[in-house]
Amino acid sequence: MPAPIEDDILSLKHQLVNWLFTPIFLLLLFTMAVGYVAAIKLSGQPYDLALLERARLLASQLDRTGPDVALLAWPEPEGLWFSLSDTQGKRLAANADLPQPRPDDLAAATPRFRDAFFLGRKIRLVTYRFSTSRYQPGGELVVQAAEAVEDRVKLSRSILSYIVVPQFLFILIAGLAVWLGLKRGFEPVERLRRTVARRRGDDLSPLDEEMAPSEVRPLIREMNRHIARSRGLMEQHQRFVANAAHQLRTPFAGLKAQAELARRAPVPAGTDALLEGICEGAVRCSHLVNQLLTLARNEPAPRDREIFKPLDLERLAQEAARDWGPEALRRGIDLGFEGTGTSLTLPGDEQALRDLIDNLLDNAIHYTPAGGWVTLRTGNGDGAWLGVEDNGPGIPESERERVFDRFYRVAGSGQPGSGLGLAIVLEVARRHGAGVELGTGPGGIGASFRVHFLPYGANGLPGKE
Amino acid sequence: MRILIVEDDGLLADSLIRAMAAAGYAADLAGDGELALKMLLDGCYDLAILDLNLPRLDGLAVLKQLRAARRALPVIILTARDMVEDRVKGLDLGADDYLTKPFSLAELEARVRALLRRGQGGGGACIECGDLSFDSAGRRASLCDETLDLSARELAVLETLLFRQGKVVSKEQLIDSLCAWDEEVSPNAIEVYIHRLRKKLEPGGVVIRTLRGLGYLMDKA
Repeated sequence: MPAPIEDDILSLKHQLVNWLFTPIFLLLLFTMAVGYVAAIKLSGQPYDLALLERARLLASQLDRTGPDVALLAWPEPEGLWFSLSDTQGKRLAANADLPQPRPDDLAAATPRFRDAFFLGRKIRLVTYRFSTSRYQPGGELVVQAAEAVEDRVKLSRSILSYIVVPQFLFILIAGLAVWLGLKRGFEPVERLRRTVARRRGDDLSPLDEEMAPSEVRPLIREMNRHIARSRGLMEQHQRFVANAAHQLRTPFAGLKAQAELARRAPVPAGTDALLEGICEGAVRCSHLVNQLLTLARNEPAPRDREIFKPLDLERLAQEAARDWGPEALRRGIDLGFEGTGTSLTLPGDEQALRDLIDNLLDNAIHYTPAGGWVTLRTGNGDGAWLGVEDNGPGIPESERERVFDRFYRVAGSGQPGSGLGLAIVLEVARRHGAGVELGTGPGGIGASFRVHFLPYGANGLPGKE
Repeated sequence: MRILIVEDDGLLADSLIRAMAAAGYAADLAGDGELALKMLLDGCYDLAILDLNLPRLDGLAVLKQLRAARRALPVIILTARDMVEDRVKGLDLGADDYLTKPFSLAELEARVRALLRRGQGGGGACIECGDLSFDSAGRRASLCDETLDLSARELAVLETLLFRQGKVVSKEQLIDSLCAWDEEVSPNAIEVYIHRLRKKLEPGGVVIRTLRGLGYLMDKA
C-alpha cells in the first residue's frame, strides 16, 4: 500500500498559498526592516542638522560673551543640554552633566553625532569643535549639544507606519485576489467533480474534456482512455456471455427435437417416460440458458443512455399479460390486468422491461395453485409503478431478501425454475433506477411485487429536460 | 413438396430431416450458407428452413440474396437470437416466419404446413376450432356442420377471435375489427356480442374465456 499522502501536499490551493505567501511574507519582513532603518535615518537627519545649528549658535555666542554667560543666557528648553570643554576634554562649563566627549570625537575636524544614554533617556549627542577668536584667541574648544530623541522616534514611527500599513494592505488584497482567482480557476474542476459524483456506477461514457481547464485536460484525456479500456473489457465480457448462451441453444434444440422424435416412434414400455424426462430436461436447460442470456443482457451496460428510449409502460404491461393469458388459463389461474387506462411514458429498454414483467408474471403464475388469481397492476404517483399480486402461498418474511439472489430457490416450493427470474427483475429495475418492493398481497395473503420507477426525467436518463 | 433445411448443427439437422421426412416431405440438407444459396437458386424447393448462424455465409445474407434473385419461396428462420430487433430484421428481409431455439417440433411442423398451404393459394380460407369452422371467403360459420345464425357484427367478432384462437384478443382489437361500420362501437357493445356468441357456441364445445382487463380468448372447452 502506498504511504498516505498528506492532504496539504495533495491540495493545489494549499501548495499555491504556501509557495506564494511564505516568500511574500518574508519579503514583507525584509522591506519592513529596511524601511525601519531608512525611517530612522531619514527622520534623524533634519533633527541632527537642527541640533548642530544650535551647537554652532552656542559656539558663536560663547565666543562673544564667554562660557558661563553664554550658557546662562541660553534659554533652556526641556530635554536640551549643552557642555563646553577644551580639546583635551576638560569641562569648562555645562548645564548638565553630559557624558564626557570621546577622544576620537574631540579629535574629529567635523561634527560627530552619536546616540547615548543620559538620565535614563535616550539622547542624540553632537560634538562640535570650533576655533575661538575672542574667548581664547587662536585656541579651539569643543561644544556638545544633546537632545532627547522622543520626537525623532515619533517621526520615524509615523514614517514606518506609512510604509508598513500599505504593505499589509497590499498583502491582504493580494491574498484575497489570489484566493478568489483560485476559487474561480478551480470552478471547472469542481463542476467536473460534481458531474462525476452524479454519475451512475455503470455509466462508462467519456468525460467531457472541454469542461476541464487546459492544465487538467491531459488528466481527463488519460482518464477517458482508461474508461474506454474498462468499457471494452466489460463489453467483451458481455459479448462472451451472450455468445455462450446463444451457442448453447442450438445443441439444446437438437436434443429436444431428437427426444421428441424418439417419443413418436413405437418404443418399449417405460421408455416414453424417460424420453419425456429428456425433453423436459432439454427445455429446462434451454430456459436456464435463456435466463442467463437475459441476465447478461441486463447487467449494467455502458451504453444504457444510448439504448433507453421513451416507452409506454401501460402498453408493455398489457401486452405481456395478454401473452401470458393462455398459459395462465392452462394452469387454471385467473390472470387479470388493472391499469391506469392512460399511457405511462418513461425512458427505458423495452426488451429488458418486457423481461422484467415476464419474469414477475412467470413467477406468480408458477407459484400460485390452480384456482388462484394473479393480477398485474400499473399506477402513477410520484413516478410510474408496476405490480404483480397473487393469492398463492406468498414468500415468508425471512426469505424476502434472498429471493432476489441468483440461483436462490424458496425451499419446499417444489417448482422447477432457473432461480434467476427475480435476479433478472432486480437487475432490470436497477438499470432503470427503479426500486423493487416485496410484500404480501391484499389482506396479507399471497405475494405482491411492486416496481417503482423514478418520476420521468428524474433519473438522469433521457427525459423531457 | 421439397424442403431445404439449412442448419450446421448435426444433431438438430438430423432431427429436422427426420421430422420433415416423417411428415411426408422430401428434405435436403445444406450445412453452410454458400451451399444453401446455390441449392436454393438452382433447385426447385417449396420451402426453406434457415438457420441464421451459418459458416461461409450468414443466414440473413442468404435470405437477402435469395429475395434479390426474386425467389418467393416461403422461408422459416430458426435462430438462437431472440432479440426483438433480430426478429424484425429477419422479417424485413423477407422471412415468412421465425422460430427461436429451442422450439417444439410440433410447432415447426404446424408452421411449415401453414406456409405450404398458403403457397398453394386457397390456404387459410377455412379456419377451425373444435367443431366450429369459419369460411372467410363465404363469410359463413358453422358448428357441427350446421350453419350458425349470426349477425354481420357477430361474424366479425367471431372471425377476429378465431383467427387468433388460443391468444388473448383485447376489446380494442375487437372494436377495430368492427370499424368498417362507420359508427362508434362501445366496449359495452362488444360485451353484448360476446355474450350472444357464447350462447350460440356453447353446444359445440367452443368457449370464449374472459381475462380481467385483458380481453377474450377463444378455445376448445
